Order: sequence, then C-alpha cells, then structure tokens
Amino acid sequence: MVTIEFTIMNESGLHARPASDFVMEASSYKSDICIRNSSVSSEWVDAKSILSILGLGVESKHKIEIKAEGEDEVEAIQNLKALLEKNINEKTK
Amino acid sequence: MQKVKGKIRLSGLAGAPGLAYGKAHHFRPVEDVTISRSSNNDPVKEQSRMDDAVRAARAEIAMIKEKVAHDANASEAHIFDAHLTFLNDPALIKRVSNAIGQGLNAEAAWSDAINLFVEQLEKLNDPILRTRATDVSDVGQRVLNHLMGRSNAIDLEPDEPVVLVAEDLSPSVTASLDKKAVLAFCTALGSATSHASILAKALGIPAVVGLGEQLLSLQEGQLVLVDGYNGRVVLEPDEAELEAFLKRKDTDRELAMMDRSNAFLPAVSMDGYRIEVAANIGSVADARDAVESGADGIGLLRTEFLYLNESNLPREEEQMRVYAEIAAVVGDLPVVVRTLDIGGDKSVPYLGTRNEVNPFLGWRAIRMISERPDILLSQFRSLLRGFAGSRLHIMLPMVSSVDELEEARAIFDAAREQLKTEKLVFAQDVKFGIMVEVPSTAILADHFAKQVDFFSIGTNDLTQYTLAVDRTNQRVAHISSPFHPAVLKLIKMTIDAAHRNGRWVGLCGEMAGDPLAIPILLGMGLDEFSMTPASIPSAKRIIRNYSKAECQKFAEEALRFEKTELVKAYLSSKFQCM
Repeated sequence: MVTIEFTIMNESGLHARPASDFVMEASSYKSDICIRNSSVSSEWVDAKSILSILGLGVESKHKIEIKAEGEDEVEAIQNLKALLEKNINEKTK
Repeated sequence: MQKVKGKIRLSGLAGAPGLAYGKAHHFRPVEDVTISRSSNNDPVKEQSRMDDAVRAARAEIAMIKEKVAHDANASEAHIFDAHLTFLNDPALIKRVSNAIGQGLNAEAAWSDAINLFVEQLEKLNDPILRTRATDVSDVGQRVLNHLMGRSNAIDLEPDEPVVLVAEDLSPSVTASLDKKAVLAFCTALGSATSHASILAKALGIPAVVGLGEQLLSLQEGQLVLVDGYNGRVVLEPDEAELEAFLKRKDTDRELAMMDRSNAFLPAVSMDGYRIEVAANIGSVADARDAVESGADGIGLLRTEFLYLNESNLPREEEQMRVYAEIAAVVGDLPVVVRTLDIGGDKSVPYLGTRNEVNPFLGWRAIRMISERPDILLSQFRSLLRGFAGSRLHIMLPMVSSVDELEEARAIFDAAREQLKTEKLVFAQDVKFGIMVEVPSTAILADHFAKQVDFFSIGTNDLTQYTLAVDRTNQRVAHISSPFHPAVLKLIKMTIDAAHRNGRWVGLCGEMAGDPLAIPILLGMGLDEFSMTPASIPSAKRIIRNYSKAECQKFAEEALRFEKTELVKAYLSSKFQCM
C-alpha cells in the first residue's frame, strides 16, 4: 500500500473540472484507491467516485490523503500526485 | 389578478415567442410519493430491475443532451454531462447493490443512496458544491421514475396537446418537453433569461414565465390563451377575443414562414435605409444559428462561457481556439465581442469574485481591470489572434467613466505591441467600442464618442441602472421596462451624441427584437439591432414595413409621454403587435 499527503493550493479547491479529472485518472488503475480530507477528518472514500469526492468538500488549503493498494499502486500514486501538482495546483496566471 | 368582464388576465414575462390556445394542465414535479420499502426480495431480480432503470435513464439523458447541444447551446448541455457521470459512479452503484444484496427492494435501495449523497452535498460550505445536490436529486428522480414505471416524458396525452402550467420547470424537464404534446408552458417563477426560457426558445415552444403564484390556482382543463410575445395569459377568453387571437395565430404562422424565406434579404426601410440586423450569441453553436437565421453580423458575442465552469483562467490558446472556431462560422460578417462581464452574482474564485451584498453595483466587468489587468490582457491577445482574419470589433461592458476606457485602451495597445514583437498573426484594423448601459455613460456620451469607434446600448442593464430595479425580483419587476420615458430619453441621447461625432450605434438588449420597439428605435436613428437569432427574420420584416421618416415622428411622439404605460399604449395603438 502506498500513501501520500497533499495540500490543495488552488483557490477553488477540488471540485468540478479538477475533481472529474482526478476521478478519470484514478479510474484508469486496477488498484483500489481511496481519498480522505484530513482537514475535516473525513472518512476514506473511493477515489473513483465523483459523488464521494465532491462530498468531501475539499477547499483551498485543505490537506488530503490518498492511498492505493494493488498491482499498479506505485504508478497510480505517482501519476495522481503529478496530476494534482500540474492541474490542480496550477497557479492562475 | 385583473378581472375584466369575467375573463382573467395574468401578465408575466415573455419567456419564448409564439401564440397558443388550449387546455391548461398542471405539472407538479413528482410529489413526495412514498417509496415502497420491503425486505426479503430476490436480489437477482431487484438488481436487474435496477440496472434496467439506470440504463433507461442514461439513454434518456444522452438523448436530452444531444437535443440541447443541437438546439440550444453547449453550456446548457454541460448540465446533462454531469448527470451522466453521476449514473456511472462506482460508490453509488456499490451502495445500491449492497442494499439490494441484503434483500431490500430496488426503489428503497436507490433512493437511500441518492439521499445520502444529496444530504452530504447540501451540508458543504462551498456554494458551488451545494448546487450539485440539485443535479444529483434530479438524476435520482429520473431513475426512480423508471423503477416505479412512471414516465419521465411528463404524463401527457399526445392526442390532445396542452398548455403546461407549473411553478417552475427544471432544465431537465424543459429539455424533454415534446412540441407535439405541449402547446406552450406558463410558470409562476422564472425570468426571460432562466434555463427554462432559453430552452423553450431553442425548442420553439411558446412560454410565459414569472406569472406569480396566482397562476397555480387556475383549474385543470381550463381554456387559456398564451401570448409568448408579450408575456400575457388570458383564462376563459370570450368568443370575440378568442376569434381575434386565432386569427392572429394564423397570420403569425404565415408570417413566420414568409419571414424564414426572406431572412437572408437585407433589412431596408421603405425609404431606402439599410439597417444591420445582427445576432446576440454566446457559443459556437449560437454562431451557427445566427448565420442560419440570416444575421448581418454578430452584434454581441458574450464571452463568459469561456470562464464559467473553469477552475483556472483559461489559457490564451484555449480562448483563441474557441474564437477561431466562431470566426470560421461567421466568415466575412462583422463580429462585436464583449469582454468578460462577470461579477459577484457568479462565483468564479480564480477571477477573485466574492459574495457581495450588491453584486450588480460591485466589482464586476470592466471594474476588474485595475486589480486584474492580466485577465483583460489575455482576453485581448486571444481575441486579436483568434479573429485574425475577421472584421473584429471589441467592446467593454459596464463602463461608467472615461478613465476605465482609457485604462482598457492602454492594455489593448499593449496587447497589440506584444503580439507584434512576438511576430504573431493578429487582427488588424480592429474597432474599439463600449457598451452604454450605465446612465453616467449615456449622459456623457459626447465625451465617450470622441474616444471610441462605436457604441452598443445594453438596454437590459441600462433599464436596471436607470430605474434602480431588479427585474428578476417578482415584487418590483413590473417597474422594469425599457419603455420607461427616462430610458428612452437616454437611448436617444446616446444615439444623437454618437451621430454628432460620426460614430455608429447598436442596441443589444431584448428591446432590439421587440416589435413595439423596433419602429421607434429606427426612428431615433439606431444603426444596428442585435438580438437572439430566432428574432432576426421577424425584425427584418418589421424594418422593411416602415420608412425611417415616419418612424422619426413616432419616436418624437413616444418621447413626449411621462409614464411607461402611456408610451406603451401609444405604441400599441400605432403598431399592431405580433
């Protein structure tokens, strides 16, 4: 199992477009992937579920944790991290 | 409610044009029907019922989405994309099948799971996330209806089409209305710019909205006349009125056919003045509609659609690609683009909008530039590049003082300099103008005219700001009218000031397509009328029926009255309203 912690930096948090990009990426792995909003001590939810992710209410500056377990767990976490860094934390110009 | 000789008249807002006569049918969005709940069911059977219902709902939504994308515009279609994603959600599916596996019936399993997500979303702090709750319950209801053997196509007799009466209609319900079963719809709530009205226009269903709660007390099956042009509804009309109405309806149908065949001919007044009749658009699909409706140009390209539903400022290349697509559709026709017009009524965090007590008097539109010149700079650059080969006109929204214009102009010049240095291809000979929608700008029109190439009068906002009235507020909406003598006077002042300085003037509010307004605007000397594409053919016909000289007299006369009602009464007596 691989786990990372991440702080969401962009102003609008994790919803709409970023959330659905995240779900699409997560869905492309065989591993079970879970996510929680540690800032509000949420439960772990399925990272492949847009409804669950929206329900986490991730706002800017919130800390999230992601864990993956399965044959492609390392790759999954690496790429999800890269996606968060690239898309979600993209600073407004 | 105004009672005249036994007839009842209701007046609301024109939602979508057209005339209809038929029996009223109340549509109530599924009341809280008790959902059956039983245990010890056969899981295999229940799961297969569940799967069938989801599949049917998915097919329905996909159809609606296609219809909306084709008939209305892309931004309305997005709503249904989200609905489709929800249906595929693994957490939702899992929760439902677990419950079914334990013997719960499909209805209860489904509605429990949906309610859980809806409640979760409703509890969140973020207002945007909270609005998703409505979408989730909309989808949930659709599936539930399938499970319970209720049609989502609204229970109507196809043999006897009806006038649908409702408190309000959701986008998903409006989009699935069948023109053969629904002659028109009337709603107690809603405005001319709500989803329901926009979709009704696109679907060609006449609609009157904002009729107030009293609408809901009318009886099932009562005969009603619906006038979607003027936003009026008459209950139980007498014979004379009905006959006149049906005659008007026939003429309306014939006219519409004639209008369509003449749409591509220019609008030339009887005394030989060629008037531009242009389109208001807000997407690539709209641009196609505009061209197909015979528009002489695009009089207003709203650009907000590029910024809403985004989480970051759209990249220059992204913006440019959309502009280039529109440029390809409109070809040689002139295009007037309005720069970003967003404020605190919409939440777009990356732009820095905030919840404001008074968003329409707040930090919005051109007022963003001193804090965020980068937004305007990137928009100018993408416009100049995307419309490189077009007859591009750029205008600034909500200008209220000359410094704003000067500041924006400096950014515009900077954008051009940058593109030149970077050796990029961009539009040359671009015309620069402003919207006249704040009274101060109309009053100082002479000063502004010296610094711009053209004006475009935005009558919706000009009316709101001149009369200090919010037309979406049901209690005061009746005060709001572009026919208020003060608004008419400001329009006249603006046109005169522009012409004194050799500039042209367009008008891009709803007023431009209003048959009562067209003759007097023509008389005041308006050079360009810009409206929703569907109104173009009829507006062209109206212009062809008048001479500018006679309209000048009508305009002078109309400007003499001191009350909105008197102006309207005068105009109605002069121009048969169709």
